[in-house]
Amino acid sequence: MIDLERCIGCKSCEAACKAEHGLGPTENHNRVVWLAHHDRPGLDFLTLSCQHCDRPACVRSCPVNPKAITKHPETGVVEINEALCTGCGECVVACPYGAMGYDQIDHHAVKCDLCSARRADGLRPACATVCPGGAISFGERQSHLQQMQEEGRTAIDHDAFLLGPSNIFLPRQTNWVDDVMAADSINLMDFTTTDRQRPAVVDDPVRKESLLGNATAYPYRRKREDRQPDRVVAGGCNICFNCCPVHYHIKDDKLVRVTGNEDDPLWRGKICPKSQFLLQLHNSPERLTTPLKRVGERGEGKFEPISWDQALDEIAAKLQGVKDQFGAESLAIFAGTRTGTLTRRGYIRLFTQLWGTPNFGDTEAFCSEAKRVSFQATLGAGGSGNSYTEADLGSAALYVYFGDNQAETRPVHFGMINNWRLKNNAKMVVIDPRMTVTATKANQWLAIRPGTDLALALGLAYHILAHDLHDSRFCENWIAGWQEWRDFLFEKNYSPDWAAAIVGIDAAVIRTLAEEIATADGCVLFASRGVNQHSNGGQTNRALMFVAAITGNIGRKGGAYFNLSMPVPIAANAPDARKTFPKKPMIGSNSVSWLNAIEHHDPYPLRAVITSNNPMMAWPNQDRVRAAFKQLDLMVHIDLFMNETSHFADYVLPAATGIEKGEISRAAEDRRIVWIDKSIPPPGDAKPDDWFWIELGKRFGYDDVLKDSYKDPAVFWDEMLINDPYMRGCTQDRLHQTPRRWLRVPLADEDADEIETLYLEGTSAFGKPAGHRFPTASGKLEFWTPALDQTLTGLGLSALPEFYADREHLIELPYVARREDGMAEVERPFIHGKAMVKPFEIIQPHADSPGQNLQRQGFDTHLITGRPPAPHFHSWTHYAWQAQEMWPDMYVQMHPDKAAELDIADGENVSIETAHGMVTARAWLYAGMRRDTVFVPIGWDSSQPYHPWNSVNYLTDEDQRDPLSDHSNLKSYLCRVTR
Amino acid sequence: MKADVMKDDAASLHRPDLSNQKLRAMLLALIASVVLFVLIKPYLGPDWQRPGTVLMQSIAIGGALLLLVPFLFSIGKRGGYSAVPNKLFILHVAASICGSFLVACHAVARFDGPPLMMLAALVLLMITGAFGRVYANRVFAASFAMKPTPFGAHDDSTKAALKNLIEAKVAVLKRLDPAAKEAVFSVTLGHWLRRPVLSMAYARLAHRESMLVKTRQSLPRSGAYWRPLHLLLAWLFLAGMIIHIIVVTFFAGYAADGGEIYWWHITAW
Repeated sequence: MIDLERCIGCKSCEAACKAEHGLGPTENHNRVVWLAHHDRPGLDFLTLSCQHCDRPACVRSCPVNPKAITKHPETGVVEINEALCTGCGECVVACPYGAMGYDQIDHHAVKCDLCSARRADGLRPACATVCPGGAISFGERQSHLQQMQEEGRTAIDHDAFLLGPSNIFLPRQTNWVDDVMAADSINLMDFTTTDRQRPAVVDDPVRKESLLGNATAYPYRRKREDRQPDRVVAGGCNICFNCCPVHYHIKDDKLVRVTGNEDDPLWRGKICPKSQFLLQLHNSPERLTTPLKRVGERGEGKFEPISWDQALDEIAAKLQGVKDQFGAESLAIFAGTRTGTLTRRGYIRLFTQLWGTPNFGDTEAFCSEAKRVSFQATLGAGGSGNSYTEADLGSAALYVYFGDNQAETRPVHFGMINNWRLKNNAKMVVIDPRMTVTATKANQWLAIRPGTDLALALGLAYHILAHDLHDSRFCENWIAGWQEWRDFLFEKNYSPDWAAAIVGIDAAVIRTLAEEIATADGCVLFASRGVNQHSNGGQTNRALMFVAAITGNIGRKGGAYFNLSMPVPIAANAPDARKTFPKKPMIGSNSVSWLNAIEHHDPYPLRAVITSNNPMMAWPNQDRVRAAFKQLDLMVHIDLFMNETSHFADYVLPAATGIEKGEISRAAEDRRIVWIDKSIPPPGDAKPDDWFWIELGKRFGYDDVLKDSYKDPAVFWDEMLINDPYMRGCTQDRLHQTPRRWLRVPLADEDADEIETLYLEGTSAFGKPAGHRFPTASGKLEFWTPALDQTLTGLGLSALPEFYADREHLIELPYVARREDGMAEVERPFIHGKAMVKPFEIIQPHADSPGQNLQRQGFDTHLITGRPPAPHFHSWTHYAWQAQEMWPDMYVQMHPDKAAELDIADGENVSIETAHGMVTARAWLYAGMRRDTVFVPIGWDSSQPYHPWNSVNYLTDEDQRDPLSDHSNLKSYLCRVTR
Repeated sequence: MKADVMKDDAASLHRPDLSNQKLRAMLLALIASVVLFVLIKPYLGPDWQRPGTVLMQSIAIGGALLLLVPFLFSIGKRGGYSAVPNKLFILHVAASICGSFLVACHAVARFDGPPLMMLAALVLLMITGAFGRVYANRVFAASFAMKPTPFGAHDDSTKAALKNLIEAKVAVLKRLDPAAKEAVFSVTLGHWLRRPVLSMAYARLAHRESMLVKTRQSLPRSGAYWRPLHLLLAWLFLAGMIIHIIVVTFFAGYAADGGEIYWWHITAW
């Protein structure tokens, strides 16, 4: 049974099917078809596989005797005996559902048999097991029909030709309201493919041709018996924040399968396609396997293989030279989440402390620093205290998403939320300039003007406070400065009417939403990069958190302000006596500050960079990033694959990841530490990043701190990384005692209970005095305090969020700029380390504003960026052939009306140009867009295999940043689109 | 790793396959052989210069016999005579290519007249066959989940017509093969041999059902029609070959058209 209400189009079922059956490119047993109307917003996802018909047309069409396709007399499963198939294709022609696959390499039909091998072992079919949304369920047809009736639902009639399809499709349940595109509700329950189109950019058969040949790596297209594991190891996926518990299936020290951990009571085997693509990552023949030294010009991509000893010796010598000439601070290290938490917070941290550079940067300033700073300022911790459990986030009556496309960024967590929504009849509202997959599941989509969520938050708060809808008891007892904020809102007249003119949402709708948030018995406000990646990200996060707080939705189950990832205190520290304390402050808290230091020695020279991410894709203003990196004396790139950054490096070092090295997964959304054992060797001569830092450290005499024994990450974890009281109980022993292989912190000791929800009434924050419910100095949520106000005023802001927007807008809005009046630099607050920053000022709209100027130059469209569909994740999935098969091309989503004006057809290549650069992408005409806005996803780069495209960060500006957090605006620019 | 040497399941153990690469190589070898033969033919003896010499007639007979192998494949897979019918498929390709070479040698000795139509059919057979194997399979693979028709608006009249057709099929099937179930039944070679009239009636109903469901319209024409065209050409070629044999064997005078009858024949009408 397939429930269209629960399907989120993530294609995890496709990944599971190919892994289960060893299918290669263009071979399918199932597929999720994306469908959209040309002229009205919305997406639906039709999961197609064999219908196991009562009258299977494929069986009747098979000319072979005895037939190659048969219907099992007891189970009714339609199966193929590939040995009998001659590959004539008649069954493919005959099946009106298009559910017969074909192996174009070996010339025979292939099809779904509902995973007969798994069923024989008492398991569910692979697709049903992994489905993040729980959209696919497997069982007796009669029991499904009964369940359907009990839920009061009716099946879609898809028996157009009296074939008696056995699969049951349940139509959509939600009728959503779109306040921009149409006044009326749209009925989604009459599901039909009539008048719906598939976007040209998904599942493009022409683009799949490039994947044939050498793309398919072990163990795909291998015999089933060659893919059977000799051991199964519990662990976690280390790609995204969902941190899904998985099982690694290993045969002869090679990974043969990644499945969800069905022993986990919360996940029950659900995983997204990315986890499954780890199989393609670990087995890819394209992995870097030996150190490389540049022999051509920077950017040219010419290298020669060298030994590790040579690489380390030469790097050490060059580093020493740079240090001698420019000082220890002239080395910067950029390591993002690919590198692993243990490496970043452990090995690299120790190296920097020993070496004496403050210039360590990670991707926080591009992802979540605005959130972290805001949480830190208000809550005293870097994130929410809630958990993805039925009793906590699952018990909300209302879910409101602000710029968070959770369905595509954390599909499994969204699947949980969506199921709880349906079970509890909760409401979901999504505020986003485009109708994301998340929005398609919501009751209401509000197509906000990009980057104006702060105005909406202020308008919501105004209405709540003006009408005494706030939780006065909570406000009085647990919020410091809420009255000051209320007075500020009233003084500024941040009413819904004021907000409506800015955000493009009707004032009545804002009022209604405010009332719903205030009166819901548990409301979860989700936010994410759509809020963080703006130059007002810090204050927007704070304002949204304030809305949650005044309605009593912080410190309760089923109520939260939730912005993904919750940093936990994992940090290794060298003994003070061994530390070399930097003589200079950090160049900046955002690593793009380094560009000035490289190019202009401002504030001091930066001459060497070691990076283990892909800044040539991820940093804003790629033209400038390239120009700057060419000027370095030394650049070392540590990664799994060659990517755009490798081409600019002097040395490219092959890295290991996940089960090749042993680590924890990324910072989970809800305080879970998921341990991954080292279980297989890295490919070739690749080494864990940890090994590199220890070996490099030896060349400088650091091996008394960066010990050789720490090459075992489990030893390093217990000895160095859980010294904080918050972490002390999260030992290797305890992690390995649980079959799910994760623990939720804080854990004061090995016997401590895991805490589902932090900051509940009657509790004290971990490590804080009794009565301090929240981990701030006051023990309360801090909206406004004299100290906070002094800190933010120093930056040119105020503790009470005042509205401003990004610099480039189609309407006149206030924006921020650095003060040019010679005011002295101040120390940036809320960061680890010391960085100086020039104060900002909010500039009120004026006729010569940047937005007006750009419009005069023809930049007449708002560009927004964001995550691509679920199978993609930055550089991680560039070499995952199946991700490239599903979504090959970078695209630009635009409203069909906008496309018609420009005479652009779906799938056509178009140019997108901002004042900062230009890229090309394929057009995706989608009515779920604001007419004045286009969307281009992140993630592609020009060096990736199969389908390279220039990164969207050629369009962004490194100088537009949030004053509060130094977070880059990666989201919102004016652009023009041309054929 | 070469993707085309790997395979998932038991099929690879038991089911031999002719890769696209090998098929292309065989076709290229055929073309090269024919060209080579044409180039060296002038330097060969007189027995090679006329199609009816004992040598060339023998070559033609050999070619014709080889070209009958595909029909064995057809019979073998429909008659249940092979546990792994793809072996017969490979045999059919190999025999066709060898047979084509021999027939081409026979034909180029005198490259005119009605037999050229047979040669054209043979060339088209090879083109459609190679197209089906090398290119149409891409269409098949690309068609997966590309037929949303059943989820579209249903046509009640089609459903009603289908209902009647199914009832008619069930009625015919009761007489054609009482033990069979209409849901999974299609006419086999045995049925055609035992009950040709009923088989024809049933096949017509099945064809009408296929027309109502518009199965062949659901794929690009290249994928949907290559095989019917290939089969049609095969039957035309077979018919042409039989006619040719009858004419030169029994109507040698007509075939000679006033010229010398120098080949083996039975009558010279």
